[in-house]
Amino acid sequence: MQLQCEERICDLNPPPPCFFKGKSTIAVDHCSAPSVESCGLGHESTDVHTSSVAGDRWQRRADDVKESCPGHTDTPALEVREPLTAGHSKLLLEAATCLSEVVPVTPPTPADPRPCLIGGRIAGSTCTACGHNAARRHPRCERCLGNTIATDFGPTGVVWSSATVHLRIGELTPPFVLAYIDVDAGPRVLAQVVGGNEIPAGGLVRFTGEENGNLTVKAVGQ
Amino acid sequence: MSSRRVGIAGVGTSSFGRFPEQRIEELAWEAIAEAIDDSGLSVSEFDAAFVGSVFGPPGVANRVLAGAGLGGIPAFKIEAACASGTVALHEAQHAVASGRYDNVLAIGVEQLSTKFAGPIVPEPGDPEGRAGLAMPALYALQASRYVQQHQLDAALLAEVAVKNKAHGALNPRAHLSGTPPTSAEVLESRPIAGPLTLLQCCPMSDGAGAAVVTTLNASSNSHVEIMTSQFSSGPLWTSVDDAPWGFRTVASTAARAFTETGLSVQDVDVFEVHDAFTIGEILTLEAIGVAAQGQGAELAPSGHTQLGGPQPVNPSGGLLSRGHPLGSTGLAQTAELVWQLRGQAADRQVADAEIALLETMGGGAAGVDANACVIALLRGPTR
Repeated sequence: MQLQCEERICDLNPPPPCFFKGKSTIAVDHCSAPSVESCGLGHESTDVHTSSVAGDRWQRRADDVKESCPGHTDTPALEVREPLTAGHSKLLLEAATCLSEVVPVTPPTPADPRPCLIGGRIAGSTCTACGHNAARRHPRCERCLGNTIATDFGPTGVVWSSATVHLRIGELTPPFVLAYIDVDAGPRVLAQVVGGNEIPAGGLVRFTGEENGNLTVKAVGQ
Repeated sequence: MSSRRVGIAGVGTSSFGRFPEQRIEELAWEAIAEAIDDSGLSVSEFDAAFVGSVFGPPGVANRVLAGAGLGGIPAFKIEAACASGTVALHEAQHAVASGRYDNVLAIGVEQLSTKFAGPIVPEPGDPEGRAGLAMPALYALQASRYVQQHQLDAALLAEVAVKNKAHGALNPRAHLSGTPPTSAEVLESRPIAGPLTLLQCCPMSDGAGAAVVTTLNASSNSHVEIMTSQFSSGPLWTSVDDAPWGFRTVASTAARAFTETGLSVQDVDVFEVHDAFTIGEILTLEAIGVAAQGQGAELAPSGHTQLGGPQPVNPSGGLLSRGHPLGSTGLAQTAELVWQLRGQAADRQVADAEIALLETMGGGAAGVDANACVIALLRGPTR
């Protein structure tokens, strides 16, 4: 027998309301006599549960069902197996890590795609076919897929626009100033303005380094 | 290529707002039921569905269809940033025009309230997203340059919010309701980025929209013809390009739509365009050709784009008032224009509207002029 009242998980629970089978629907209680022999996903209660945490989740589901079905009083005992230990094969442990509900696993952050500086200049590339300048060392041109050579751009550029941001974005604490910089004879890059003041479009800036991985600039002459 | 004439036979939407207590599917079902009832078709007559959503979870398209009597037909989920729903409409239009399908449902669905506590978190795999370029900041950089380049008072931007929130106050499904703010109230609201204040930014909304796309019945008094639908994904946006971000993509897409139909921008009676931020509406209207560059900011305060003016823009309240559930927006815009062209828009009806322009532009990928832009021209039924 299967649970039919586990909202969001059990696909046997018909979504309320069914619009098109007669257009109007009536509430139907599917939970009058449930059994916790298996869960909505079809797992038998003898399925492997690798931890007490998983056991707690299992228990909560059973409790939810019990609460939503006043007539239901019999919650069967749950079988919870011991967590996997070193006694298990390496393969099993790796599989357990991938699917773990035991150890919170933070996946790696995506590879850093931001431009970076070498000796105060943007480490970029120039296409030998179309001449396009990119703000990364791309092996092939982002514009035409031509071959490229490594080029360093800067160390100065011109502000295309700048704006103070009053939102907390990741590690950036407001207010901070972002600017598009047209690097001299090079690409347009996004940078953070040090000093906290917007710089009008056309203003000359110099790259000063990186802060938390973000390019930083300041107005030339300051 | 010979192609069939395509019409919209029915539209529907959910309400727009914050509905974290609802399933995302329920929002879509509300819109679908209204659209299909409106069309007079039955669920068994549909050949396929295109579903636009940005953050909709995997499988959402199938759960939506399976719960709406539409299980079993081909389901396509489309992500094209803010234009996801509009690209769904575009694909539906093209599928019917080319003869691939006869009756197609275009759906947009989004639930932002259960994804983000604040603004949309920029994508860490994107070079500019990783550097903190949230969407309000991207638009703020355009706004900042715009007012400087054209030597305008930044306070002028607020007039777009005043206009669209006044329109939205007439829309019972809009996210934001109540007395529209004054220009001073818009400017005094919390600063967000550059010249943009809180009331110049669209709210984070949940909601859904749907449209029934089918072969045109020209004698029907409810079919709205999709005269053309044009879709572009922008090229690189680089330092050799002095135009604002997205501008050239919107302009070239609009030019194709006008060329295709033989219409000009003066022929358009009502617009729904992408006003995620006040500057967005201004730049879009300049790109489409409603105003010359640098003069778009005058369109709202002059009355040109207000209800009652010669070319009302965003009578629904736009994204600034109706809300911006990303993937749903294109279908919400579509629904508004269909109601306008049929004369069903109640208090916000544009008098004698015959030709409407739909525009959505979505972006966010670093160095790309626009992830997607769709512009469609719609013609109302003969009344």
